[in-house]
Amino acid sequence: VRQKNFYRNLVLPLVIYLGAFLAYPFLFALFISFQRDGAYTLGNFIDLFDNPLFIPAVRNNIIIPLISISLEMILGIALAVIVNRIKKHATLFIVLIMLPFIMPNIVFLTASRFIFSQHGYINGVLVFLGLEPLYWLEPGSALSLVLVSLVDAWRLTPLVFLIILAALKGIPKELEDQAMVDGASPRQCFFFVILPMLIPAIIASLVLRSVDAFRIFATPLVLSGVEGVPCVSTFAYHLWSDYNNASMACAASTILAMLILTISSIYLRLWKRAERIQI
Amino acid sequence: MRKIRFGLILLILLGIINIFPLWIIFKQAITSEKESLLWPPTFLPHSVNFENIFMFFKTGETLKALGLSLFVSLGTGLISMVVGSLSGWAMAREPKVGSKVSMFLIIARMFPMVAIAIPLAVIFIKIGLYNHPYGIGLIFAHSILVLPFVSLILYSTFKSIPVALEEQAQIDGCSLIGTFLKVTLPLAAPGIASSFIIAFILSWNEFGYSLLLQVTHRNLSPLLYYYTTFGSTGIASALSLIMILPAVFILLFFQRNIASESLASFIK
Repeated sequence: VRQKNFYRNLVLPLVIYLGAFLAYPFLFALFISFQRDGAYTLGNFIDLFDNPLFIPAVRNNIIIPLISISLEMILGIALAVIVNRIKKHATLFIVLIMLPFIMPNIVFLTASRFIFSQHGYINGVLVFLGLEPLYWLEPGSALSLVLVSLVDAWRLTPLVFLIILAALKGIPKELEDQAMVDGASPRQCFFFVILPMLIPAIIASLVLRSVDAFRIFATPLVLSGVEGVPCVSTFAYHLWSDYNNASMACAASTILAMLILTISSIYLRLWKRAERIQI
Repeated sequence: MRKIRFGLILLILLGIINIFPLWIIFKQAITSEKESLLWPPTFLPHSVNFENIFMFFKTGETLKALGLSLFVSLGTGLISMVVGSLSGWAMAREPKVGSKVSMFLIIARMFPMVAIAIPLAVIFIKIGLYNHPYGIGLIFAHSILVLPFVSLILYSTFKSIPVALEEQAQIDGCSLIGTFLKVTLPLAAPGIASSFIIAFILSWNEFGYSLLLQVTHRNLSPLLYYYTTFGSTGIASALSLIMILPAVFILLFFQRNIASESLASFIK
């Protein structure tokens, strides 16, 4: 019993730390988002709708994750399957695939800004090929929305790839061989043997990626600024840094936090079910 | 056979695409700003010119940012290493504590940055840690982000050390704390060192909290954002190059160790 208490006390610094610097600020945000001039009100939440950036921000905050996560899942699984088959130089290819993820986020985004800006490298190539240069990051355009999702997918496909690759390495080769012996085509083999075994890993990467994709902040901010492609996170940052309005910023960010926690709890339930089926 | 060749071509193409941003940063850092702004843009440097890098080391603002980033990353690394190894060890040795705390840590990693950083900024303004010249407030903020990550890594590190060794030491008359210091810690040293490095890198690369908390005393990542948005291409490239260095260094020297550690934590 003494040992048990001893171990419990060792976790205390961590729990106290996260309580003081994570739970307390979160509850404090909840508190000030319901408050204006010393009175309790829903006014901060209602006033969000008066801001012309809020509705686009919510819309983009749904569209960007949808595009980038579906791209990441397809590309990540495909790359993992290909790399898993390769025998020579596999490490080199893994490093090459991981590069955008290993680079500091802000450096990668700065480089993408150089690449996609109006006088950037992609437009240079387009002009060289005799095509019209495109205004990739035009504020508020559909193109810039797609581009932000693409850049996000480019940077985070490696994460999905890494998780799926680790899961693939755990699948015994005999399983595939047996299916082949029984007359399955390579395609059938992938869809009916390999893919079902990857489901826990796929759900794990979906959880990780959804949580990150819904709180997307740096990518739209660096590529297009607050007003170009607004998201809920950048919108809250805009309210805080440009209007100095902490209560409304907290209202927006609290909505986002609640949304993320709801989504991830649904996913976690799915994950547990998938693991149970596996066993 | 044909399928593998197709896959290989795809991989090589992707490799070239992925190297491109790095190449752009490198090229712009070692050529003059004038050349970086040429239209149409050049893909190979015409003339090598180190004015951007000299500028980086001559400007007070960038040097201060470099120092601040180093200090904040070291501080975050230290806090996470100490708190993380204590809790990681306890979690590994007491399964009930382990499962409860790891669930708690997974939830802690899900909060969006703005939902914590904005109220934290309001609180820090009151207690004088906002925009702190030595980044003390930022160290606390980065640790929120890094601690759950590092604790989970160290949880698996300590789990891999057999309990029998510790029990033996206790039978031989060692106290619990003595066991930890003399038996467990030396065995876990490689894992703890790599968790320090991961914490350092995570803090070094972090952008959101730094942007919100260091408004005038900027560290490297918000400074880079500042230069990029104001169109100082040359110094932004030099700054980017400097920011990549720790990651490159670590990739070269600790490749195998880090890869396996972080892989384990991603799967968690």
